[in-house]
Amino acid sequence: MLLILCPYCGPRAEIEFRCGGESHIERPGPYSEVDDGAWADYLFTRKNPKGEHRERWLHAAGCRQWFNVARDTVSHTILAVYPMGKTRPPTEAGT
Amino acid sequence: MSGWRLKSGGTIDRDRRVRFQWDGRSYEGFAGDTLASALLANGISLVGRSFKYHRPRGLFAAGLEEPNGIVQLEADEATIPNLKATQIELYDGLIATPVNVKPSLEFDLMAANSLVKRFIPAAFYYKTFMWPGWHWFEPSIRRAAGLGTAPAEPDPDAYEHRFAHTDILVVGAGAAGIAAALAAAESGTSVMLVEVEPELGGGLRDEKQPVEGQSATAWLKKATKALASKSNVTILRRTMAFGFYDHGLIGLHERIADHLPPDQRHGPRQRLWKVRCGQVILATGAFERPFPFARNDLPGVMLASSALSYLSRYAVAPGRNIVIATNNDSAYTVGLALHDAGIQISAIIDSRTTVGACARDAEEKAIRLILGAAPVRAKGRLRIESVSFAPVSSTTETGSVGCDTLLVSGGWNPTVHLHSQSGACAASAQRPSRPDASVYGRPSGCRRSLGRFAE
Ligand SMILES: [Zn+2]
Repeated sequence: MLLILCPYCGPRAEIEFRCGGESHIERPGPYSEVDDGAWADYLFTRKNPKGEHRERWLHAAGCRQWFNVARDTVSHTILAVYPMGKTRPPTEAGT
Repeated sequence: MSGWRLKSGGTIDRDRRVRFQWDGRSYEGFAGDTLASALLANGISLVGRSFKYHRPRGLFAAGLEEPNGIVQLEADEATIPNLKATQIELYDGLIATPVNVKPSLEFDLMAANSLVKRFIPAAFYYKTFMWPGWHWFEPSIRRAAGLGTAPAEPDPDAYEHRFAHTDILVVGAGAAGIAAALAAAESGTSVMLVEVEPELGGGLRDEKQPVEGQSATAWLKKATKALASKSNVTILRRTMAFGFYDHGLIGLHERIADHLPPDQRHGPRQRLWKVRCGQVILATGAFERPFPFARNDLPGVMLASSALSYLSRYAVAPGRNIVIATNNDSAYTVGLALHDAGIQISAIIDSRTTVGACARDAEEKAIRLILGAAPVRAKGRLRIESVSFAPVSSTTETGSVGCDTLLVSGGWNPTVHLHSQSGACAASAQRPSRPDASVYGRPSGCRRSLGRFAE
């Protein structure tokens, strides 16, 4: 069970959170110019990396805020936590 | 011949007799006994039947590693199937029955399976009973192969779930775990010390050698007192650390009231802990390895270290005519302790040809040494009557020794379950893969757990 650092509440157990899946997915548009392939990609195609994955988490049983988490899918290490709408901040590892 | 209770010794309370029932008959033990030690003291060597061929099985170990002494505890709605007799603390009025036996322990009809076993290969049941459908046969086959019975009524007991946080969690309160907890407690951080047995000490409870210039018992008493006096230390006894999860989360199973008679139990019977730890120290010790040889599952065959535990904790001897088969020094300690307690050691069979100081100690006590040989077959019907051995090196003759108990020691395996579950490699125990885990004592490769005291 992960220990997730909520930027608003501090470190809390995973059961308090809901995972919202992959982050940084941009809605294509304007709608009239989007073909079916691009729209299907937007709806359904997701990364499944071995290594760093950027995902959205909701502190459902706490402050009810959304935020971004960069998590290593192999070791489950949480590499970074950052607000919605922002890009992943650089770390010592340089990623 | 079978097990018996010595006139003196052990940590049992001889002033408090405890009555219990096994397999419908009434027996007596002492407060401080486990069901297993009380059965052994009452001369019971047959405690169950094997899963498939219903071969007779006796107590093989004294603790968590016991594979044979699986029993059904209590009756009706409070019944619990498949508990280990070695982990059940004896209380007044305890009722236990063997599982997987019919109609009785001594006379088991299903043992006929073992006469035709060459015709019952693995997966025989699934492949043979396919027509007209496995489900036609499954209930009777499951009954024949199954272990205990689940209760039919709702569970009358209450259970509890608790979260906790600690800076340091130490799993295992043997010498290494206690030393680690004491050292950690000095710095003022919060420490949890978790031990599956009702008493702290692990192997120290059976240790004959002095520790830091005093007896192991005295050292243990002092260390336990020192730990108990510290407000930043929590000691959990009868508690099993069963899982090592992400980000330092450890699952614990605490048996709060299982050791009490049912009418004296108040509050929750068991507690599930989820503990988030800054650092986990695994001081989980080691299990003794058995020896592979024909019919090594006969009642009367037991781990050497377990015989020492039965002797030093419960003053119970597993037999009256003991042979030891070993490939390492640790079984000699057991042999000498049993010999000193007045129990006959007929031979020590050692697969090594050259043995150090421990062999001289055994020869001084006139114990017969058979070097360069290993056991090949145990003989007997419901209990071992003799063991035949064969040379590992060419210098030894083939032969056979009569005995009612064969103690085996095939070396020691570090208890690496939690270590492996944390994602580390068992071969590199000293280098845990995660920043939140470290390993002390025997799992770290130390042969003697005391070896790491200095660290
Ligand atoms: Zn929050």
